[in-house]
Amino acid sequence: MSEASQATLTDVLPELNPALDRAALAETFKRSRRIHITNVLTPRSAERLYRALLTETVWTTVHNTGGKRLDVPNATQDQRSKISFAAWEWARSNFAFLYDNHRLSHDGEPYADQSHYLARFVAFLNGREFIALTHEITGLAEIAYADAQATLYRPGDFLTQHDDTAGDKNRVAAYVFSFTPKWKPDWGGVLEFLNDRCQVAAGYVPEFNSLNLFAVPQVHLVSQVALFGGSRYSITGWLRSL
Amino acid sequence: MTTTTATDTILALNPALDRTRLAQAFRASGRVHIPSALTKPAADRIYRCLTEETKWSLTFNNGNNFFDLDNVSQEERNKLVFAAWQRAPDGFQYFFDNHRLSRDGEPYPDPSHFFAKVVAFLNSGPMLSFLRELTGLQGIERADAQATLYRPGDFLSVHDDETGGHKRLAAYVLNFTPIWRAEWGGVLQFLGPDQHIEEGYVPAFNAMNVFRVPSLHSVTQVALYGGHRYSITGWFHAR
Repeated sequence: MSEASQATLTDVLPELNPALDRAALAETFKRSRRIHITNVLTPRSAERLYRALLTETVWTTVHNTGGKRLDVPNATQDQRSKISFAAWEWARSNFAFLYDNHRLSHDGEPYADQSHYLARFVAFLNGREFIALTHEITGLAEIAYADAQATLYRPGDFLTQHDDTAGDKNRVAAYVFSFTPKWKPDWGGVLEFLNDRCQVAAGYVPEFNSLNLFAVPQVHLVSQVALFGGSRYSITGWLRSL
Repeated sequence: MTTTTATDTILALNPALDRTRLAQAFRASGRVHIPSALTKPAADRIYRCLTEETKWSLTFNNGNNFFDLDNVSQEERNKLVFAAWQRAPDGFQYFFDNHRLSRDGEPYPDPSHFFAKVVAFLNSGPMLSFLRELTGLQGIERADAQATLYRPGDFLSVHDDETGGHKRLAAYVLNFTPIWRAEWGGVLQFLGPDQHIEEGYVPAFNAMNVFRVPSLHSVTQVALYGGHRYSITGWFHAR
């Protein structure tokens, strides 16, 4: 299948699991400023989204070797290997990242191709229902909209520690929708939170149909996907204020 | 190999440890991370021993077969690590360098090597009574030990330390890695009942991790951009 439109009138819209215990989730968030929510969407909408990521998304390799963000579309296997070796070298002593992505929304604007299924997910993220859920769970009423990118981490990919603050972006909280059906804690790709002693205070392992939400700033990283790991799919971004 | 002398460094716990607070932490979660566990000279001396005076073997498993290989060339190690990664996705797997110090609390075979002092220290009255006080496990009688070195790509997958025949009460890891970053991996990671990460101890210098057996844990793969992770590790046993 190509990246072209697959959404049809009969396609299921992204929908929240109606059984989420919002009060309990809010309690957990209040304690640690972060939360891992399992079964966040209805199974059929999660399956549809996973299909979009797996078969309908064009991936671009992104990295920052040398200190400047670089996007490499359509990297061949050979290019990807070279990029990876350079990124690992850079990561030794610098803030660094290496993964594949697909930009969905820079600043909450609709996805460019309205006929693509991912357009529906961007609309869902910026819809009343999802934004209301984030208010309810985080208590952060200033959340107004969401930016978004799809990401794919392959073995060797990573994102080193950072705290998400960016001067002019009004980031209130970060989110990660995880769509990885089979994973093991040994495979890495774990969203790890560090405490003030630089120890790991908690880590969320990739899974299928879960949502990680955490307040900004918080020092975190995505551990390198083990060389024996799999492909880690997610849709991630920040919840921002006006 | 160097030999120890009568004037060589004395190994001792840091006298400033807040033992009451550490014991409370252990009782709350079944594990504790103790920074500055030994005196500074003791930690420096052990680090020197690990980096300059240790003959490393490669240790790994292939299913239920366990291998310790000496004098493995870099090329051979690369082949073996690729094979281990092939087996790792679905099974229990480990791959790192080690050097056996004491299988069951017995003295290190070469009394002139500094490791003989390390083994004696781990099995000394002050150390064992510290462990009993820390863990509340009054049955602790002795410590086994191995030195380990994890290089980029090395790992130990999830397991719980329970094996038949051993009376393991608590596991320990003494860390001797001067420079490390959380993203370099090699993290001693504990799994919660939901299979997510409850907590992880990042390699450090002169820190001691102690945790109850059984606890589901792993050492995450050292990132390809990581360093060399040195430790002395083992279990405290009942008689």
